[in-house]
Amino acid sequence: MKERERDENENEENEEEESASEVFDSDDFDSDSDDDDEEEEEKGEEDEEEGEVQTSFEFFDPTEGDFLGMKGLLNGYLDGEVYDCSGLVDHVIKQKTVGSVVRLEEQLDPIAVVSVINLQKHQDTQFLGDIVTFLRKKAPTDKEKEMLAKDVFERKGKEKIGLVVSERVVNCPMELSSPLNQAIFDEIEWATEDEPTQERRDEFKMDNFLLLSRVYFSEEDKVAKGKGKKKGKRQKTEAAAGDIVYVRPEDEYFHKECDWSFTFPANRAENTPGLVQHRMVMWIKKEGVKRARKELDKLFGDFLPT
Amino acid sequence: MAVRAQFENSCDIGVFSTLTNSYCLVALGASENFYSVFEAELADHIPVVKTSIAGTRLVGRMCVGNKNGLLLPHTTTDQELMHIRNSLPDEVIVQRVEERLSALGNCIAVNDYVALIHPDLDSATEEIISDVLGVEVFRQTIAGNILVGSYCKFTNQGGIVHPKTTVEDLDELSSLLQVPLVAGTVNRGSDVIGAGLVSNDWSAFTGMDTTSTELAVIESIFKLRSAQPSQIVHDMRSTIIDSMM
Repeated sequence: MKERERDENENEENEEEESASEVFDSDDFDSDSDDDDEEEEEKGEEDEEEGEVQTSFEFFDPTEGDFLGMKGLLNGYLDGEVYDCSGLVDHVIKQKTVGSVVRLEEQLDPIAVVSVINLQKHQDTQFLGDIVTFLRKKAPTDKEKEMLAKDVFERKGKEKIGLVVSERVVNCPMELSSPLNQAIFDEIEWATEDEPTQERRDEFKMDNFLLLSRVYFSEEDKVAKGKGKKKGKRQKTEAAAGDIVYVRPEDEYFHKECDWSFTFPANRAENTPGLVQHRMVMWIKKEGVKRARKELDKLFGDFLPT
Repeated sequence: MAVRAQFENSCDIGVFSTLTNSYCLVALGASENFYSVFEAELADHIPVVKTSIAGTRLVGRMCVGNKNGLLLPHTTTDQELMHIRNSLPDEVIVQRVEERLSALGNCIAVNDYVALIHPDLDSATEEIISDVLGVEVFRQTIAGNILVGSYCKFTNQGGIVHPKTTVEDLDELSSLLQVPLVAGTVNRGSDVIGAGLVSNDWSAFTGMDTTSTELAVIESIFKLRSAQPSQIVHDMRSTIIDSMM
């Protein structure tokens, strides 16, 4: 049995250009005939020559035409649970000034969407009710339920909370994370100044943010978690970042700067062996967001205004 | 009447159900909501059967049928075949088809008289369609798409096709099918008509996202507003009422 692996390099240049290349992984290569080998090799070489694809990603305000594409992205937001996704997408579309959609040139469907929703102002909507119920249900221990209740649900103070909704397709390039975060958090700031009515300006004066995102834990961590949730949590915070695999690069920095967070296992079966999919809920202050964005920027180039 | 429904979180009704004038097949869902919507509308007139096809819930896209028969892909298991045969009326011929293109619902669009099929379908399958379903078969494309079952939906009363169909194509198809056709969308702008909607001669089900404009178009083209199920299901009896004064 011959094992052959072929890796092709991904060249990252700047935010506008993206080189997509294929990674060939022929692990169990059980071929009886030599001809097959040669064919495979030839194909590989051909692709190596044509390896790079130039694409540009364009950012837009959400429009009605994005409805179906966004619905596809946001359908799994609550981990497969049924909720008023149409209501959420509707809201994102109506809230034009704060919220962005990324489309590839010449394509109609968005590949990424980011928006923020003021939790207090829209708490009567069906979709927010569904999201809140889901988070309440999924908080693993009483401690987390308390944290949720204290900071999010029963907060009667003047501070406003924004739920950051950020979803993208699975293979989205990492370079998009910085501009996407710039897009949303800058728009929030601009909205507090530019919105026509005082009510709208106040809506976006958010001091705290709630994020719901996807992470992977390696198998060993899962075993530890099984022994006791508190123990698992301590282990998580003590453990190096290497134990948690963040699907979105900015989540790593948000997690470092957040006030508190908790995770719960995802319903979906894990696609990667050895990694268990979890969903992470994070609570982060505005200042924490700024610090996290600075760190993110160092990695992906400077997009922040100096 | 056109009714909005939802299968779990999806508005693609046509993927999870098949509706004809003499029976209805519905996928097994986690909750009973989907099934009960169909039951409420249809149970008085036709059998509503819960099933899977080839172990999947994609009942609408895998099979195709009309009041005369039902065609199932070769991937259907024997138990499923038996279950469906037992649950459907005896007049309906249930047949498993050996066809490479196994998503029959995507490849074939049919009403009780005419069928449009994917241009690459086997001629053997074409014959089976014509025999079992009792229809005239035409190989056609819809707005350049070969998946005719996905991009159009027509009944004995009328039909909706992909929104980008040209007027000439629309006229040609309309004369082939002998029913009025309209180019439209379903589920808030989705052009995959066959996935978003199911209908028969007196009722239609469409996804939750369908706008009221789209629903109005559906109701008017399928002539649902004045439809009387009892008249259509059983043979029309012409009654002459004399009023004697």
